Amino acid sequence: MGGRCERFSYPLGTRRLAWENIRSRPFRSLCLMLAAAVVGCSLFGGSVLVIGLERGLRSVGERFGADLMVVPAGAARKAEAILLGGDPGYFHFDGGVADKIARMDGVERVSPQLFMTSLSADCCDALVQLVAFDPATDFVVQPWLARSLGSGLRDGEMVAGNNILVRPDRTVRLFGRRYPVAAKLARTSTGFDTSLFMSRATARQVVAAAQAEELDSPIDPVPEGAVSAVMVKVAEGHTPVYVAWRIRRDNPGVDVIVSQSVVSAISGSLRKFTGRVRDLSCAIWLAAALILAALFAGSANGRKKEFALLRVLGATKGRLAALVLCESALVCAAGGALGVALAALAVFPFNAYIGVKLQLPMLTPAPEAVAALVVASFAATAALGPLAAGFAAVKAGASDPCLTLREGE
Amino acid sequence: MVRRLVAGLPAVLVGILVAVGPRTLFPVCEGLDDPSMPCHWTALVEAGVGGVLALLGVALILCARGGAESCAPGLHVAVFLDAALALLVPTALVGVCQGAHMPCRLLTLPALAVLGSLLMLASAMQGWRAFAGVRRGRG
Repeated sequence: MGGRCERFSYPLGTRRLAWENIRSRPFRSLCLMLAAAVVGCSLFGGSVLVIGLERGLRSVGERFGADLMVVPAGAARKAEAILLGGDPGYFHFDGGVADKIARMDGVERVSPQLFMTSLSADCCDALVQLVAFDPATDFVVQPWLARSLGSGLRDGEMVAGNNILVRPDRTVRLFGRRYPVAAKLARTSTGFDTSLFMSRATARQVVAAAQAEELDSPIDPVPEGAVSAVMVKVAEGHTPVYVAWRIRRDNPGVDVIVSQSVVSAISGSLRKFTGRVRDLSCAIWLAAALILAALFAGSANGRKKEFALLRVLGATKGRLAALVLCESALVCAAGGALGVALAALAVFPFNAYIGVKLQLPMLTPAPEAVAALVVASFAATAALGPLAAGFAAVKAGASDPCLTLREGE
Repeated sequence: MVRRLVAGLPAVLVGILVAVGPRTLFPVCEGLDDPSMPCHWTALVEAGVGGVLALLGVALILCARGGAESCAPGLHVAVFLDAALALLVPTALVGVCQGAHMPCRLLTLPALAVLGSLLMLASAMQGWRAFAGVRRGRG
């Protein structure tokens, strides 16, 4: 009792009165808070998903690098799975195709790549994609390796994708031998995360070493001069689709992947998904605004005598309106904080799982973007309260206090 | 009654989820019986940790009877430590498979981490309140 008297031993301001009103009606306050939490959760969770997927798509576009990718006939799906899905695989064709394509009109640069797979001895028997490139002609891998590697990749060295297990002494084990890792790449949400990159000379060393070891799963021999893919940069003034058509026509036995088509196919699925998320977030925000407006109006109607008593005690109409708005803002702010926290618990720890389930590349948004989203989602949810309670705030001081207090006599 | 349920029910629910989740709701990798996979051991250890959590939750629900409220702070501390164990088993003590696309890393690890963290937070808050209540009662 003493504690309660102490609490009221100083004047009751609007905020204090609003807080006491919220505390004295815990069930009503909890329901309003949960409605606001749903809004906060959908706004923050939806925005993080959309931005994460857009970032993932940008990463795919940046990493693809070449305008065209020429692969053996029938290997196009496998190549896309290697690049985008992280499903390791290998295929070869004669490297002479690269020279033939390089001489074609509309082709600016070509660079062959060789794909191999390996069992990683250090990690759960997961397959690792080995990508060998030709440093002299490469224009795909080295530009973005340059960010991680200042001095270039030496023979015998490798660059590890983000999900590759690198030992503390900065080496990886392949076919029973250790190879130094020059750099580890940032996460891309593409097949590069589970790949090891090396020069063709290093790849030859790996194959020779693997064949020398007595392994349960020996590496498949790679024919001399064989390549898995020829990356093509199309010259200015030529359209990649037309050059791809001519390569297919002049080189029977090859498939051509147009990077624009791959990226725009993912972009199409992404647009559909983000559109749905945005529509759903808007619908939830509007529905919550209507529900909260009805709840606040109903509550104001039920508290007519309380408001009339406050008027009799000297509260102005403006003070009553401020009280209702303050209550709604406090409840929605608490709900917004709860919703944002719940969404964060769902979206951040499970972001890789969500990406796999959606079959779309997903990267966590940058910290500054996350901070901005937290503030924006919280503000939009907290603002919902005063907006929805506007009618109730006007109504609170509208009736005559004497008549209201005498009602029912 | 409601207060007792609020104190013990989170531990019971999280305990059951931690114990059976790695085999049902958020399963570890296929081939659970393969002892070379760390997630196999994590699932086994979590079954024990989750079982203890559920029992502690039941004890919290029952401890208000017969003037045993003073046990509540100690039980909350036990729940906190057990929840920390539920969190540490997949993240540090035993671990899960290294492959980034393996089910245990995609789903089991985050699910156990979220459940453990939430229960640690809840038991810390409830333990603090229970301790304050016992001190008030003595005062």
